[in-house]
Amino acid sequence: MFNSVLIANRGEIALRILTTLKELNIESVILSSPIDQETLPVKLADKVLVLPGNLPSESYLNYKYFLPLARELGVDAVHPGYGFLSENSHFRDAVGKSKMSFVGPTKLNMEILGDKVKAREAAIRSGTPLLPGVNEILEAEELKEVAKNIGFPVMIKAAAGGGGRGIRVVENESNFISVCTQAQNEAEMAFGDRRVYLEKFLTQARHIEVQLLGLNSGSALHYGERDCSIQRKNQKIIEESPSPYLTKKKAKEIHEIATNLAEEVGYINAGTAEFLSDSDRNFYFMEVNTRIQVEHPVSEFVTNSDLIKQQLLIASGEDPDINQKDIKFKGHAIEARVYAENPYLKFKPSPGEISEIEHPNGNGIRVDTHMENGSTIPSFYDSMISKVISYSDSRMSAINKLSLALSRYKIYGVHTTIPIIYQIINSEEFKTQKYDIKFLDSNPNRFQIPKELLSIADVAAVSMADKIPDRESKNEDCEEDNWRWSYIMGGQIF
Amino acid sequence: MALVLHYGRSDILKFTVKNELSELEYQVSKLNGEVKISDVPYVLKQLKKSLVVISPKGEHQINRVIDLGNNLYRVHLGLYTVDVNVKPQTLLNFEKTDSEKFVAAPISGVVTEINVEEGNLVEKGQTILMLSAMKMENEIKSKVKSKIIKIRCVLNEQVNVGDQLIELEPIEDD
Repeated sequence: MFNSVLIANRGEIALRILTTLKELNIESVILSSPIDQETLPVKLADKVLVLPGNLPSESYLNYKYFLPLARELGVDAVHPGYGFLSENSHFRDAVGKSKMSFVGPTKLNMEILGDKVKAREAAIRSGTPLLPGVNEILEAEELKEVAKNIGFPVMIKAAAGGGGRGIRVVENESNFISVCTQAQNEAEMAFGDRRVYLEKFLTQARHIEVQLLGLNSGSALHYGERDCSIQRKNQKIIEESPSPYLTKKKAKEIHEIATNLAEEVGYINAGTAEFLSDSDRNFYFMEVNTRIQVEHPVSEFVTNSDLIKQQLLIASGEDPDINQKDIKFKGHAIEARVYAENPYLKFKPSPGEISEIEHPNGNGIRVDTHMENGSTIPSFYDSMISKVISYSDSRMSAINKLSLALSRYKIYGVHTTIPIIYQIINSEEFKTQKYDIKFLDSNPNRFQIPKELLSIADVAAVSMADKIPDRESKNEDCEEDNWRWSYIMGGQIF
Repeated sequence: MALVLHYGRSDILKFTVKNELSELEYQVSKLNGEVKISDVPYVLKQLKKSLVVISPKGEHQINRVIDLGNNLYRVHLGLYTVDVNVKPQTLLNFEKTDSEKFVAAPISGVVTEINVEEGNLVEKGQTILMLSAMKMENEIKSKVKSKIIKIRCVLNEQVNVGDQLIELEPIEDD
């Protein structure tokens, strides 16, 4: 096993990796941009490498800067987390060339699966079902011709992508070029690679994915499936395992398809094969994410395992001493992603300072977060505040448990996705399987703040506007009327 | 200062309220601690750290009200969070309509593209600049046909919500 591991990430996933490193008594070295220096994982790590700037390009993507420094500190392995450099094969290569191990798949795995076009070819070889699309990289004009042949709607995706970024659905050919250009620009921003490809867009589908663990021996294990069909803007916000949409037989089928694909490409370490499932429960391959995923905790709950620990073991060359039959599935887990966004205003990001935060807890409740009172959500990075995962013996009791946890969650200072997730998991549609991946995007007004509460909020805001001078003061009985207006006038007008 | 004295002694206060989640801007008056919205009375009470609003339909606890500046208040009540713009009416009379004279940042982010130069004419709906926030690109468009007077931001600058990025002058269409 390793002596010292660099966490090449930030936020909750950095803390998640750090937790396992501490458990295994491995030294933790963490990266920190200037703005992240007061965050929990940075405070808890054994060593910190401070990066020269806050922009991703100056910080968490700046491996030419931090890899040599990590090597000097005696780091012998690098865990990339998710996002940032986690699926960058050049980075993976640079880690190897710096004589450090990479906690993730091989360079070849990443080059094949990280490239959506090569991944499609691998899927064809292993008999994985696919949606019609392109098998090569083309320019916008050529893609438009392909789209016309396949038939609209089509989905444009970043070839190097993942995590919903650089994805656009195009309904007809009239605005194809401009949307395609936007997708290319977003891909450039997010992944430093502007290539895009396209495939047929399935209008009603569920998102089903399989957690994989490829061993050094060449065989692949699975940790069951996750259903991530509740999404907004192509990004997941609720995930669960097992999928309530699949029968045991269909679940077994998708596990086999995914492990076959992993074995076909000789996949090593943790990865996730993502599929769409139509109303007849047919599966269509989307992509393999060659990293640990945000939603891995639901699989950890139902299999009672630590996937980060397995990743470290495999990367150090020691296969975990388990077979598929040792991975036992029990109970149901649901994860809610808490983002700093206003869910009732098109999920507009709400960066800023969290003045107060009080996380829920209890038996079967897991909260993965790095946020504390006074933490800020910088606009440089992802806006996720935390993940709340509930675990119980059935889906219904996991829903009830998650509801209570969300209603207890106190976050002040920013908007969050908590209220809409609460409404979704308590809706008839969620409880009776009447939803697909477009549920939120195509029903933007399905969940709203109760109207009477808007007036209540207005009254509360008026009361605050009325108390401008003593907003910081604890004295509630001060005679305000005589000087309130002079403050307003004096402060802002005259 | 005459205004100060006049309003400061009065116990009737008027506000213009615009809730971000509703289309309408409306006026409320506050009299002796009672706020009326379309003739429905609401009473505010401070209980220890939190505020309670009593309406004819019941009692609602307000967890926090945060002053975000620029007359914007963030109200946390129950599960929900709502932003409300509240302007005392006397202030309103003095304020210019800034929204047509400036392009303000709708969210905090980084300026990734500036598509105009000082002196340029822009059409209504034309993209003036791009703001990247949370790794998503946001197009900032002109609300009306305008002339660009001054560019008050630079490429790759980190800007905050409400910052005036571009100064412009609306042009009347014939």
